[in-house]
Amino acid sequence: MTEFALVERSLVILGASMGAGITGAMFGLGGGIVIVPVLTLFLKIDIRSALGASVISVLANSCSSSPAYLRHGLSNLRLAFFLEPWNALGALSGAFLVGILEDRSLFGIYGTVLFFAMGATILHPRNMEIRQFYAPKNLWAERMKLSGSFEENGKQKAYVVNRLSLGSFLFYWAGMIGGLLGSGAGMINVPALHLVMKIPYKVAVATSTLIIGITATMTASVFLFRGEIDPRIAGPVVLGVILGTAIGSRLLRKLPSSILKFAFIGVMFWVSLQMLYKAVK
Amino acid sequence: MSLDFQNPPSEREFQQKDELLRQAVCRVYRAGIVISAILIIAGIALEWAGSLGWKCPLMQRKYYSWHWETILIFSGLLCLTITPLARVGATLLFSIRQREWVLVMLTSAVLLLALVSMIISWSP
Repeated sequence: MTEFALVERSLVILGASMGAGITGAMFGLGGGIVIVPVLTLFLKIDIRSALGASVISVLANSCSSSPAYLRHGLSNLRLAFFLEPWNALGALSGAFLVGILEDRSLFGIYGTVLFFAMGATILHPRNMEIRQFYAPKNLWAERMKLSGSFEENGKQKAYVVNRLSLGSFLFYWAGMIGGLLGSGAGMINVPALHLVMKIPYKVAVATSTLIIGITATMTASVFLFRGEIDPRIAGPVVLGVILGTAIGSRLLRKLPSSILKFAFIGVMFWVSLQMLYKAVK
Repeated sequence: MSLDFQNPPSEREFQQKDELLRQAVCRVYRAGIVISAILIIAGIALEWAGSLGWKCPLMQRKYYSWHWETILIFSGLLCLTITPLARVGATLLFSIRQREWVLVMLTSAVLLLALVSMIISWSP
């Protein structure tokens, strides 16, 4: 590689990673859906190095946006600690299943689940507060003080955590998918928190960002010690993602939940189509 | 002395603990991000400087066939990788001190599962 090509390549990676950082911070995803196509299609980097960079971007995203969400009271730390063991257990099961399941069936499962999650997000009623009010209180959630409140438009809004067992099961499943595909599985975490456990959308995004950090740590350590992370690619990715999340976390606080939700549906649609295409190709 | 009927003492105490925990976790995250960003920026700067013809004496040396710029970036990535685990560890220490046994149980489970998962994945 020539001298200037190295600098140029690093700058392109930095720019793409900034985009991934913004996407990740706004939707509670890792940003791999932006980084992997840019690295493989535009820069002709092999898929293994691109996946390694994607895992690092998930990690950088979680680490850099979590402090801002925690400071503004958006992340539910206790709920994150309750759901993380399920996610980690799922990732562990995923590591065992890697050798058994075919790649095509994995893509098929992931794509189908995303498609259903997208449908549920579209059909979900908008009057969240009314549903929250009439929702039955969960005994375990109350005992462990998992419910909380957050500030929106200068008002403090309280929320109750529902369906703890179904949510835990979904997080186990999300961890398994994350372990199998080497992703943070934020695509499943956010709908599980928002639609199943009835947590406001912004809190769901912030809490999912916190949770995917642990899953990404486990995956990244494996990639790192196997030598599948190229420092020359991952270095600019981390810096770009850190810059991008600074912008994305500000946007999350300022933009209304409805706009964020529609944008998230668009991203889900695009990713589910990609996954299903890979499954049937 | 004014009485806050909406926030009974136990609730206020709980909120204070929660706030302290949030601050502790934020500090761990910030430290992790700052250290890894410094290491990565230093590594990339060395790499760019080398590619643009600047001969740094540090870059001429190798450590086990690894260039120094690679070592710096790799250390930054490693620091970033352990930051979420450090957050769990910090919460575990905090919850032991505050005698929050539910949190102790949950954080121990996360740490244990993460370590088991890593050991299994590292083994050939």
